[in-house]
Formats: sequence, C-alpha cells, structure tokens
Amino acid sequence: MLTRYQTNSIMDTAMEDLKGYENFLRKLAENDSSTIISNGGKDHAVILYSVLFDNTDKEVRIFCQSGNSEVWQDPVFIEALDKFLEKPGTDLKVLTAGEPSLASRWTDKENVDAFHIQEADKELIYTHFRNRKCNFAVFDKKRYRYEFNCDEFKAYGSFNAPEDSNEMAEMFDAAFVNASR
Amino acid sequence: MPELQLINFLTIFQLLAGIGLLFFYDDILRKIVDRESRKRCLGIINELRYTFQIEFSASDTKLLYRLVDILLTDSQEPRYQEYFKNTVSFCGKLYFVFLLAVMFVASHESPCSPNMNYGFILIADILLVIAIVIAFAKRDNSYLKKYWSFFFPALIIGTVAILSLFIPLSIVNNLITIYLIFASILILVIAIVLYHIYDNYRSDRLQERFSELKKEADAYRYWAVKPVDSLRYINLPSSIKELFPYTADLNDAEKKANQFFSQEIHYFLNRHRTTHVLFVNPIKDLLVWANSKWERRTIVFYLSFLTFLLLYIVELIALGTLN
Repeated sequence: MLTRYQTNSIMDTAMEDLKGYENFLRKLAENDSSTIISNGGKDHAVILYSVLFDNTDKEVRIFCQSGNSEVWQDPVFIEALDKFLEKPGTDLKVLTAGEPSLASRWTDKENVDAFHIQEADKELIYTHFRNRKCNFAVFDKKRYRYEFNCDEFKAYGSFNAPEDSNEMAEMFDAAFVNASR
Repeated sequence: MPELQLINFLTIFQLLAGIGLLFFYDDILRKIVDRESRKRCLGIINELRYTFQIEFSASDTKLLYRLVDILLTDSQEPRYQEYFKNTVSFCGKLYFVFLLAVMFVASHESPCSPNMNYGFILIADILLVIAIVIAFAKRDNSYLKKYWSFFFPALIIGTVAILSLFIPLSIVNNLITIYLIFASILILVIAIVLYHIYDNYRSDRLQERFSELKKEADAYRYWAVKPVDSLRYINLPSSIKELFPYTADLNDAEKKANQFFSQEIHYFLNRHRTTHVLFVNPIKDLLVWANSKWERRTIVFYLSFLTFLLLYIVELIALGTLN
C-alpha cells in the first residue's frame, strides 16, 4: 500500500507531466508545427482538445460516438469548449455514430449543431479510415485529432495538416448535410 | 641521508586538499556541470517524450531522463547531470579525506627521522582508485547522495592510511608510493574528462537516433490517418514497411508500429545504460567536439585539464630529480 507521501509524489509527477505536455502542445501550436503527435488517455486527450480549441478561430467539426464520453464531461474540456463558443463567429458541428447524447449545456447554444450520422455516411468514414470504430475532430480545416482507439482515447493529431484536415472536413460536411435533412 | 619522505610534499598535499575541499560545495559543482548542450538535449528529449506520448511508458521516460543525467522529480525545473555531479563530488571528497590522512602521517615525520613504511598508504590509495573507478563506471549512482556512501569509504580509506604510523608494512619503495598518490588524482581527473566526453557522445547519439525515429513515426502516422492511400504506404521507410503489408488489419499495424517504437527506445536505453567511459573512442569524440560550436565552459574545462596535466608532468620530473 502506498503512503500518503508516495501518493502525493505520484500525483505531483503526473500533474507536472500534464503541465509539461500542455506547454509542449502550446509551443507546437504557436510554431504551426506539422509534426504528427500521438495522444492517449483521457487526461492527455482533454489537454490536446483544450489547446486545439484555444487555437481555433471559426469552426470545429467533431465526429464521435455519442458526445457524452468521459472527455466531454471533463472540466478542462468543458472550460475550453465554453471559451471557444463564446468567441464571436464560432461554430461547433457534431455528428454522432450512435444516438447523440450531448449535454443540454451544449445543444442549447445557438452556435452548436448536433446530428446523428446516416449509416451510409458512417460507412464512408469507416472505409476512409479502415477502422470500424473511430472519432475525429477538425479545427478550422487546418488542425485535427483522429482517434483510432475510442476505448483508450488513443489518437494522432497535428496543428498544421491542411491536406488531411480538409479531406476530413469535406467528408464531414457531406455527411452533415445529409444528417441535417 | 634519509630517503624521500611524505613531508617533502606537504605543501602540494595541502594545495590538493584545498582543491578537494571545493568538492563539498554542491552549488559550485552544479554550475560547472550544467552546460548548454545538456539543456538542448533536455529539449529534444522532452519533445520526443511528448511526441511519442502513447509509445513511451512512464518507466521508459524516467529511464530516459536518467540516461542523460537529468533529475525530474525533485524540483519543478529539471536538473542537469545530477549523477555526474554526484560522482565528481563523491570522488573529490574521498580524495580530500585521503590527503588529510596522508598529511596526518606526514606530520609525524621530520627530515632527520628514520624512514617510515608507507604500505598502508599504498593500500588506501588503491582502495581510493577502486572507489573512483566504481563510482564512474556505474551510471545510476543516486546512492552516492546518501551520507553512508561517503562516510564508510572515507572512514575505511582514512583509517587504513593512518595505520602506516603504527604498522610498518612495506610493499614497494616510498618513491613509487608517492608516485601512486599523485597518479590517483590523475586517474580522477582523467575519469572526469572521459565521463564528460562520453556524455557528449551519448547525447549526440541520442539526438541522432531520435531524429530518425521521429521521421519514421511521422511517416507512419501520416499513413495511419489515411490508410487507403497506397502512395503514403509506398513512401513509408522500409523499417516500418517490413512490419506489416499494405492490406494488414489496422489494429495489427498499430500494435506492431507501437512495439517497434517502444523497442527502439528500449534498445537505445539498454545499449547506453551499462556502457561506460571505457568503451568510448575519445579521440574521435574530441575531433567531433573540436569541430562543433565551442562552449565557454567546455573550453575552460579542457584548458584546466591540460594545465593540470602540465603541472603533473613537472611534478613527476621534480620527483625524479629529488630522488
């Protein structure tokens, strides 16, 4: 059994690690780095999302399973998304693979739209990624986070990948139009 | 006429002991060993640690920092070359204690007194050299910070040296013993220099290997984001392509790539963890160093070493003349 000192020490190290990770991501964003990073675990996923939200000026597209995962409920994620949605001219579009279960705090907002994706479009996305269960988010058609393992929140992400981001955004927009009809 | 005695060298022993006293001041040592190249190295490791966030386990990360002598957990700011500092500090302090014991023995001599046998001083000197070699050969020397790790060796070495006063043990003649006392400090200085060179060498290898690894990871991830693009697969480095075919199941590919990157890190860690200065090619690394950007501290370091070497040679000549 761990002593209180050991537990505190482990927690301090984890906090330091997350702080260092956040600084690293902010530097990548600042430098418009095209490096593709790996990102895994809920805490690290939330940090990547928050840095991506902070660096997005206009629109965020999210394709996810339901919009109610641990990430969506994390205070850091909530704060970052709130901050993003308060910026003038911002827009959040969400497509869900299953029934959308986004919290009302998001769906009540005027600049948030969430729909259940149509099966055919879902298949197109899964074929594109060759992955039967994945999520992705595109930020200003320039940055993305592609989650290839939804259970462990494992993903790849980049702060400057217009080619892939555009492709994901196009795929998303086509599915969004169909879902909103 | 009496043979050569320790008392003839009392002044130089005092000077060396004075230098040894400096090793008790951690702040001075820390300033000496914190170098720009170390900070650059930390930057690269941080970048890789976070770029490979999924692939690096917490224990790997800790090992990685230890490998380049960076202590992470004790403070907010990482400290550089802490283990190197511990080693240098430990050996310097031990040498100081040894010299104190030698001076204590010498203080019982007079120019007209009969010759004393320095057999136990020689044994203490050999013990000191063994301690120096062990301290430098073992990378993970965090135990050197513990009080007993210094106290007990110091007590043993000091006591053995002082035994010369009471037990006349003769192993070799006194001239050779005095030569060996000076030789042990030369061994300490050479160990510091070799360690320093090896650290630079290892940091360079680390940077090189990780740059390659980053390129490989970038290429793999670029493909993994759009695995239906055959051109992206074709452009993968052969080391990655060998792991799985284009048609492979993506989960399998991910697992294999993950394993590959983790293994590469492990390989590097294991290769450089137990290796020590003896396996380095110092001449080659000196040439590499000479061609790189000169750091002020590095220049001071090497100039100090050369000056010491010169003084040492002068001392040897003086010894020969006296005899």
